[in-house]
Amino acid sequence: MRSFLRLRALVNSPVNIGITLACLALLAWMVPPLLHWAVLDAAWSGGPEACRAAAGACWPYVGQKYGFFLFGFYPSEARWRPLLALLLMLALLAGNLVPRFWNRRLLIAWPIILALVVWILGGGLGLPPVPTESWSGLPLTLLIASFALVLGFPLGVLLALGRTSKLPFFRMVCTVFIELQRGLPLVAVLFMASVMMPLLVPAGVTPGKLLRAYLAFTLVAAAFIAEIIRGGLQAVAPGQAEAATALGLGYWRTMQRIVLPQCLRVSVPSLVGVAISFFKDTSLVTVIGLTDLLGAVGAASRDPVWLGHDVEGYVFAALVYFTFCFSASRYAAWLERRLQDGARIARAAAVEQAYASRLAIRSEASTA
Amino acid sequence: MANRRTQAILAQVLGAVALVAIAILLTTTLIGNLARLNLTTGFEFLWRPAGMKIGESVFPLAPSDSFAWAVVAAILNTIRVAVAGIVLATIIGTAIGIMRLSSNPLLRGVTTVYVEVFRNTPLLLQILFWSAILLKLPAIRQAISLGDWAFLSQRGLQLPSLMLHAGVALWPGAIAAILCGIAAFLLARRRNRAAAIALGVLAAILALLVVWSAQGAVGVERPVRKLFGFTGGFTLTPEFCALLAGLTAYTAAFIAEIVRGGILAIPSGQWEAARSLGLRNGAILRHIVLPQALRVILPAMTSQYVGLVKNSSLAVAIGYPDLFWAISTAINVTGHAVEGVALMMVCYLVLTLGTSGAMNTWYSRMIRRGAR
Repeated sequence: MRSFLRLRALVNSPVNIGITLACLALLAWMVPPLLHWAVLDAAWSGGPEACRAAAGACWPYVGQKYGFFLFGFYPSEARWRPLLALLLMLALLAGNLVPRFWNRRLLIAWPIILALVVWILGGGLGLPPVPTESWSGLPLTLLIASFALVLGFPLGVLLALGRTSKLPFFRMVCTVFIELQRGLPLVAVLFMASVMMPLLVPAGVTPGKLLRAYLAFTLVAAAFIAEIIRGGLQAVAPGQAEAATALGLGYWRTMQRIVLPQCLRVSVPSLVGVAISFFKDTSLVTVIGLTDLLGAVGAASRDPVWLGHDVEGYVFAALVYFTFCFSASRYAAWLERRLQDGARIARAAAVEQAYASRLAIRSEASTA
Repeated sequence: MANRRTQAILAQVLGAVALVAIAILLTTTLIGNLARLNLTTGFEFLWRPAGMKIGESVFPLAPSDSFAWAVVAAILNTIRVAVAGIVLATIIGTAIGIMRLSSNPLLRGVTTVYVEVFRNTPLLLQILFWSAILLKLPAIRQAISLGDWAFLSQRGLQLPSLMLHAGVALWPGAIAAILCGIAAFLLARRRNRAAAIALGVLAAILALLVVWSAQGAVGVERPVRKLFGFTGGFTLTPEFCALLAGLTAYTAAFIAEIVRGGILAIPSGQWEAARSLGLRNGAILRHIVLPQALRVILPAMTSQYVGLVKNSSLAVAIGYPDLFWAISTAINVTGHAVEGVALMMVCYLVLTLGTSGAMNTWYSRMIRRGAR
């Protein structure tokens, strides 16, 4: 009955009838060709010849290449290693989603699992070594995004504290750094890191491409995280820090015990937003010659046997990115609602308590 | 108290010393490395012939022109795509943001799918996708005709162009008409109705006179399909089209969410009060809700615009000759990495800080006007 009522809005006024017709026309114009391309006229089995014969999409190409899309140039006989690394990182991410796990142990789990992932991918200590140049595909995408966020987070907190500090020197330095990183395109920062870093380290040391990518992503992530933390700091009532100072707590103790915990609670949904955008932006590493998920899809489309099926590969990549980003953004929305509920419950409890204590005072006064 | 002040000064001095030490360390390493690699420094390379082929440029450019000219052409290319992208993304994004709040579930569904798909996939992927799609379009001979006014083919989009080959007398009239129109618009906003109507009528008469005197001189030239190309009109290259489509579709999805959030932030009492005064939904949106929502929307919009300017650097992935492409190519050709990187930083900072500065000025002026 309720869904019927909702459907009545399709036709309940002349304007809505017009809108409905226009939408139907748009769908009638777009859906049939898409359906033909993706399903009806597509090749579902066979080799490159079957694809050339078909008018629509070539799904055998994706079936043949999905391993390469996901793991890229990583030696194919050792694909269990990037797969294991991928699963470890996904488990870590899943663990992060549960607010019950937000404690010190999670903070320790991050570096341990990332170190484990680097070992599994890179080898050594019993595993045959694989140079970082062949790390590619989805594990690389996740690895760069995680490194950027894990290293960028503490740096971002420091930058935010610096930017809101009372000391003019730190305020200035942090502001200049943040605005520089936010004013430059990520591609440009990546390119600068890849061009300038070899010139800025002593002769004989050559940082690999992956290290340069980590550096660029970390610096930019730190700047964006700093701005979100700064917003969170502004949301914490100034009375909190003043009260802590009045109790004799020093600056760092005040921040660590009183201000930052409240600030982080407010900032979590926005931080998830930054994580999503950095997950998407890791695709830019192709510019400096690394092969992430998107890079592997692009490299596969240059295979002479399967020429001309780049769109199918992009559709596959888009589905993978979409799955991650869409679920993360739903999660952020859920979290925001939960935090708001939490704040409302806390406020209600505070009001109740205040009321109760007033009653208590009154009853004391009346008995006196 | 004095103790705390000494602490503060000490901390800052220590910080400054550390910063200077790092700077000196990096600079000496840099100088040492440059000397070791026999790299010269200086901006003279900018005046040397570039020798690189720039696919498109607003002014004619030969490979023998200097790097400086190539960079200027590239900056103009960046500005061109960024301005077009900002205008289109704002229009489309605002429309979709409003449509997402429609009472019609079908419209809401269609626009929600749009927003979620374009927001949750990487921009680079979208640009590559549009580029691949454009390459799959028919060749010029079978170009898709959009009502005979524009043609879409592998070689890009062919649009009609405005032709002005008129006598000198035309221009003063046209300019006067435009000025009168602007004055009428401004007066109308100040609610000076009589003067606005008078000036509006004057503008209309001038415009009519201009059109009448310019019969045949002003016209829209349609592109005409020939065997190996088009004559007339102007061409948007496939690279430009793919980049613009990607930037517009991606940013519009974010702007739609900002506009929707801004409208939802207006208390429902505003709607109810306006409705009880007998205003229609469209009028309420235009006169009551959007002006108030603009305060919430503008700061977020600024960061979207800055983001679009920055994202235009993804042009490099499909070979559109923008600022990043030109300078990184120049660095690869000449080896002047330090100077090139510095130039790139300055150019992008001027573009992005200019965008956000302009938006912030507008915003603070609007807030001040609202406070009065």
